[in-house]
Amino acid sequence: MSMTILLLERQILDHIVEKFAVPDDTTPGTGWEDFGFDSLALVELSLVLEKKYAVQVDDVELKEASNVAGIAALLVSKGVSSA
Amino acid sequence: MPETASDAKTGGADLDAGFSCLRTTEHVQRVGKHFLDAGVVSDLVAARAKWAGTDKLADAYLDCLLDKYDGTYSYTTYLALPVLMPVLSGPRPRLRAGDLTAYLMADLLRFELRALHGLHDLMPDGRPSPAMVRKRVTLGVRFLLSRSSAGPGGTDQADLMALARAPQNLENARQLLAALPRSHDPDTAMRISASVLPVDVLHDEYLFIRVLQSYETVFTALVGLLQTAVRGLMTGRAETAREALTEAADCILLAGRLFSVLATMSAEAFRRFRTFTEGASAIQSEHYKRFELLCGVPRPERLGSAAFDNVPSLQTEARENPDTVTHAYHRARADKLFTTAEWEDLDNAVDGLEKAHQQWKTTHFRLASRMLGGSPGTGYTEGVPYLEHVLDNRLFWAVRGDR
Ligand code: HEM
Repeated sequence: MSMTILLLERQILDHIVEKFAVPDDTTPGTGWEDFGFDSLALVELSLVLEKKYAVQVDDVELKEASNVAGIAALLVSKGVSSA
Repeated sequence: MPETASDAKTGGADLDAGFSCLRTTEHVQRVGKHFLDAGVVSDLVAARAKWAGTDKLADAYLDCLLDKYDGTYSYTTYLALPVLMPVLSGPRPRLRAGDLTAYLMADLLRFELRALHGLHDLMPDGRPSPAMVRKRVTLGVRFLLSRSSAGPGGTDQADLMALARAPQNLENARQLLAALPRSHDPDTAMRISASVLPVDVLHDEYLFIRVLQSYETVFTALVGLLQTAVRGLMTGRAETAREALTEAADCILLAGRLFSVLATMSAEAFRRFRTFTEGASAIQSEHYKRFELLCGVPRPERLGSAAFDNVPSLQTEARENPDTVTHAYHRARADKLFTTAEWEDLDNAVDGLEKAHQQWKTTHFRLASRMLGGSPGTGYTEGVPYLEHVLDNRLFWAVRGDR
């Protein structure tokens, strides 16, 4: 796995643990449903990601990405390197 | 209609300058209700006295607009509900609640698109970035589409979503503006246009007001559905009751998406304009409390708390043993009105509604926490701790024992 993806995973995970009150043992592979992410949380996360990585990303895309690892891959596919 | 604020300037080209309700609204959207010039206020007060009783809409409008002056400022006047909601009431309502929700959200999107392209200069402070408008418009259009299988104005759903994703393109914005639904009834259109009376001139207050008003239409729909459920239970029609309860749950779940649209509000703008909304809080919403009361009389602790102290008429009603789903449910159980299978379906529907409402409260709590931080609520509760506490409340707490 590339350094960029690993770095992005770390950054996104840190943000989610800090801001969304999810359990500390959440991993990049934990699915949204497992820590009760609802549609509002995904919208909020999309707002944060758009700002932080200057990229357009919809909550629907985040939902489809399933977890933090999926988001990191999605961001890379949109040309993000890391913040 | 009276000539009101003498110095109110006319604004957007599609507003009927001859109608002073609209001209005054434009003026308010340029200066903020909290900052109306003393001369304008005294003109409005004089106009109200002179024309009282000649036009119901003008009376209601001026009462809402002059609420701060009159000392009657509240959630109801802040949202201009007496201007807006008559379209849903009376023996022959002009509109169904769901249609009004759609018109309000469409109006919000129009405000956003027109501001983005410099087509109006109302509520000019703190304009959102184009990226934020894009997000707001996408979420708003998705909300509108979730309500119907065909796109508004007959436009293909996928086409509309594609337009919403690039609203900064002027041609896209034009097509969206044309496709968004609007009322063709002049009275309804007027009431919608005259119902955003912001306290300040921050762009995002428009979003806040329209989302709250949309929720009021949702609560109105819920009240109708719950009344149907009560009648169904009382008259031995299990299927009618089940359908109404299930529809109510769906209605709440769908409405939860309005929070996603509101999540695009700038917390900074919110903190600025809310300093002038002190005393207006959704804790005063009569429709929400009527919905709650139709589900069942709340536990005594809740009935005696700020939640119902803020809506005294319903607090009194709640103490007079009103007809509720819970009450009708117990009676139907005692009278053995339904088959085992029907009870099972009904119990599932009751659980579904409880769950949907819990989800609504959780989402509200989360959004409020982010926007509010540690500040108290405008309804004089301690704010987020109050909302956390009410998460434990249940609509159907008294149904459980009877299963
Ligand atoms: C920025 C967004 C919001 C914030 C910060 C917020 C905050 C609050 C707070 C602090 C309260 C407690 C009462 C008070 O002191 O005011 C409250 C109550 C309430 N809010 Fe909100 N709110 C927001 C949006 C909404 C929206 C969009 C609705 C939809 C109508 C809504 C509906 C309610 C209701 C029904 C209550 C009463 C709850 C009860 O009776 O226990 N709120 N809100």
